Amino acid sequence: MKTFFVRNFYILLGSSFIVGVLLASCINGVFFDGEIKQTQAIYVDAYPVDAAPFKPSQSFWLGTDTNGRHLLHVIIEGAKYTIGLGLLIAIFRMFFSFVLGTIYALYLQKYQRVLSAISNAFQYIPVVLLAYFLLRPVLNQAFEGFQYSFATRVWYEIILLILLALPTVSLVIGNEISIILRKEFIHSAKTLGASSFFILRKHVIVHIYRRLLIIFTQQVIQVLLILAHLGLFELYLGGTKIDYSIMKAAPITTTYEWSGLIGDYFDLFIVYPWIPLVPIGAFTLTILSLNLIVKGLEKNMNSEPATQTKRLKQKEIKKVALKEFNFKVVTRD
Amino acid sequence: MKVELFKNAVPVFLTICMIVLFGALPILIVGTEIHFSAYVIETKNLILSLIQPYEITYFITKPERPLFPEIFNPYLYSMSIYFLAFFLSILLGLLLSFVTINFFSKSAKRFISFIVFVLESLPDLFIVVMIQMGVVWFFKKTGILVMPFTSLPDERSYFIPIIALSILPTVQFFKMFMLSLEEEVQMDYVVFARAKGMPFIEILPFHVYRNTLMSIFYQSKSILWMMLSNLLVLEYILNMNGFTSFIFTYLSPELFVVGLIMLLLPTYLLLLVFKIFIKKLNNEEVVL
Repeated sequence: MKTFFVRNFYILLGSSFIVGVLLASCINGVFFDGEIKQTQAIYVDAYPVDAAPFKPSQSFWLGTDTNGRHLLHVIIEGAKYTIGLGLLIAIFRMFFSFVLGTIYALYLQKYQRVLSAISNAFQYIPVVLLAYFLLRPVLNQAFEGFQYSFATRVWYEIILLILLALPTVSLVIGNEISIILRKEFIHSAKTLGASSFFILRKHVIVHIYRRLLIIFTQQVIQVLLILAHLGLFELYLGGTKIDYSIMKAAPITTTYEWSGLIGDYFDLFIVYPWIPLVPIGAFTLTILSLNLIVKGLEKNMNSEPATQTKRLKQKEIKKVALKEFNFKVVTRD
Repeated sequence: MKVELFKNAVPVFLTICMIVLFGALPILIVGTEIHFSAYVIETKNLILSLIQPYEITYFITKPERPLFPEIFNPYLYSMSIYFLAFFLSILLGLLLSFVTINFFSKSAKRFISFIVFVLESLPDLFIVVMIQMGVVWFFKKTGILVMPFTSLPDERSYFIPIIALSILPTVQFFKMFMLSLEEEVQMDYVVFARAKGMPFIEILPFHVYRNTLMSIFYQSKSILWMMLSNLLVLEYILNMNGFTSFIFTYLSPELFVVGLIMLLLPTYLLLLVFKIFIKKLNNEEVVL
């Protein structure tokens, strides 16, 4: 147990932060209806003595924004959307990349040079600029109102963020798979009559799932980074409401989703620096703990070459072998 | 020689093709419909405007202005910050790794690797914001303004943007140097040279660093592209009026295509020079 804890200390630390924040967020959403504490002014004897925004203090842990919403509460409420979205997009990215990578490793090895050249060329385009360029016409509210419904906007953004990573990630996974496929035991499995699907299920996945986990975590980080950047440039998940009236209210987000918060609060940076710093800090902590998980996974991968399932099997084999060889010595006189 | 030149030009050509195809993409998908013929026409228009770049205009509201002599002003500013930060970070990474590997004990190295890990995981957004706050704090304490908060066309600040842009690359270069140095130091030739009595400090720059060039090349490839998106955030947060914020403000398909190509070409040329340099010095082939 102790060795397990030490070995996985990084993973434990990182994932406990993320799971904790997600749990708190869900509890807040389910049991308290996503309610957010708000203190617009402090009264002493019915006279207001101080008004929002408040600096971080004992009664307001992370301070409040200009409307008096407690930022700690806001961050926790928004966590499930942002982290959930990051996980969702990364899962889809991994799934499609795995499918494409498998196809590439099994059938498209002939075109390896062409495909890697295309994927390489794709790397040279800065993702944030590309995402901004493709998302802006859909997400921004035009003068006459939104062109597309809320669901369309959300799905468009999700699909685009998935597609943008596919060329690179599927090539990485495809290369990993093709390295395994070239090993000798695959040849012997094929000679014994294993189908491609069987080989994939029984041999390839066992060998690369640790690597896949690492790539997955890195993808979550990438998605979060892109979301933070898009939020900074005021493209929010589900669309940016732009006020075209004379009052010109700042663009607003409705879900307290972190990237939207960055965009919302960023104008206040010079006056109340702690307000935009809170969502940015939330992103930073999340990415830091995800990186901790990556580090732990990498350590795990280097320290333990044989996989868990294989080890179990070897134990079983030993048991069987012991049983078989446990014969009595009979002496013949 | 001609084949060689052709080979080097292939990736950049492919990327330009891809940029043009992406540039026309907003026309292709409107809502749930797909307008393929409009997409083809838009692609053709983009290629035509690339052939005659002097006719491209930019605008938010009318009147339109010609893009071309105008754009070079922010372009040169951004590019100088970009490349200066890149070279600064290579230099700093080299120096820091040199100092670390020569003079630091094992426990100090472990502490440093922890710091590197933390710094590496920070998003660029956070670093730039922290630097901005640092400038404000410094101004409040001492009354010295390191960097003006709005930049005019004539007085542009270089110091803070270059520092802010070079922090993350420096950390990554440092890590890369340390990793490949530690691998390299255990090689036979280093042991041999030490056994002959050469001081370690002498072996390092002329023999060991030279052999790390290849991994540095691959690293700098990805670092350069990372720096481009960092530059974007930096210019936005620090109000710099550079090239990327110019593209952002006046975003249109033509500007997107031209802007990306203008960002791509110098980076690509730098990598090409690097590649030829490695070929001459070490006789090693690297893939662009």
